[in-house]
Amino acid sequence: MINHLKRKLLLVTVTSLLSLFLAACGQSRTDSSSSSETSPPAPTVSRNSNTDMSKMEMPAKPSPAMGKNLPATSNPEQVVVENFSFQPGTLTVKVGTTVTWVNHDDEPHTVNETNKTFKSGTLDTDAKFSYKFTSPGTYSYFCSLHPRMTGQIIVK
Amino acid sequence: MSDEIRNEKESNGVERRSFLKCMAWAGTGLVWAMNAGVLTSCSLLPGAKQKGVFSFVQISDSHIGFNKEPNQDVTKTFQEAVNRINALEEQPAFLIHTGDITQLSTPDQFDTATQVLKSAKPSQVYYVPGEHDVFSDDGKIYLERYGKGTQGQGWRSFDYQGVHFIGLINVLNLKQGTGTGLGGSGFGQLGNDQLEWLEKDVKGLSSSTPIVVYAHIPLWTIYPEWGWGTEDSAQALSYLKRFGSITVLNGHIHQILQKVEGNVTFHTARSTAFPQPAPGTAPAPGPIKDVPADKLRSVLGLREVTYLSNNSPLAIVDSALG
Repeated sequence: MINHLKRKLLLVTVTSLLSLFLAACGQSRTDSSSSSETSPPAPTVSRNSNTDMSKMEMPAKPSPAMGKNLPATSNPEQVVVENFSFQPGTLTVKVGTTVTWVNHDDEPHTVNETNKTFKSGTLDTDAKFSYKFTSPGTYSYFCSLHPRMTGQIIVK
Repeated sequence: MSDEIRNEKESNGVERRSFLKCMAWAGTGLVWAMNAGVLTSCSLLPGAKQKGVFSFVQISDSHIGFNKEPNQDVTKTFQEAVNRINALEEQPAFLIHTGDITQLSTPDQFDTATQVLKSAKPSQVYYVPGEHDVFSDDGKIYLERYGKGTQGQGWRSFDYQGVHFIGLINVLNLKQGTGTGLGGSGFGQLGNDQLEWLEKDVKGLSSSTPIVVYAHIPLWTIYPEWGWGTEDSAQALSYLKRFGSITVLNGHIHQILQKVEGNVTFHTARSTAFPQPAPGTAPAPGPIKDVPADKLRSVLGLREVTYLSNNSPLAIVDSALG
């Protein structure tokens, strides 16, 4: 019993350390993203790059700690998923912008770029997905669960 | 009234009242009876002891893992559906699950569904996936669990007492919708590989063989604006049109709709989890959230089908959970 309690305490400690660490991570990530311009090649060019998950700014289902501690980017843009639609349907942003999708529906959705440049995985209610656009172009995307739901990001 | 009767055959002389009585269990699925190629309803069940008679139950859209309004315990209502099946006097030969077994296709959600179905008296369950079962990993987990004995990417056919059953998959590799026209609306699709397989699969069959096709997304266009249809279903049906009796069973839209077109009868089934709006009556498809708790079970259901070896039509009974 005492052992069990101890383990619990230890867990709590580890968890809080972890969130501190994640907070630090979030901070440093923003720092590096604003300074480094050595991003991968233009997503539109790399048609077969299905593994561009590295370009994600955060996972599809961020932990609360990460979500809260991820600072706003210099040019935040958001697409809301609501009533089985992406709003706004067309969003125009500057190169280097990180776009975040947030699902406000009770249904799960996904954000899949037509040429598989990016792919969110499952976004359940309130889950977010972010992607940093490093090359100009028009990126069409849809929900793989409800393919009638489409949107596009124009990067200039 | 919690029961809805389809294809009831007047000439059986079975009064509607006694028909309803025989369906007093009023469950969450639908029993199909095959009768010389035509699905017959429960009104024929008293004759179920005749030689060559069998029934099966269709369950659909259990969405294990869904936990929002109007149903925060979909595992419970799924279990209730199984309990209804187990209470049937004439046990179905097997069950058919027409997809959306899970909400998010995670291993634990599949585990829960399997666990519930283990308590069903019929041990044989045939599955086809819904888009919720395959969208996160292109069907990898689904196929690992349910792919045994199937062809291609999971489709299959089998024969049972002279009836040819075909399980089709129309939820893989869904293409981006363009928002206009057929095929531009994010419809389901069967794909060329499956269509080729289907053509070969039915080639050697006599035209008098009763055919039952089951798939998740409806194989006829119900409402293009919501993607409720299958892009290449006409091609699939063209391979089947020479058969005298074709029954198509679908899920996906969480409500009962029926259409008869020549020798083909199309049916969609209720969900065991939550209802969806009638086509076009809401801004978007999705769960109807404001169903009062005491009314929920009246909009969930299962379907029973019984088949008799005579010339009666095959009838279908959709039953609500409560």
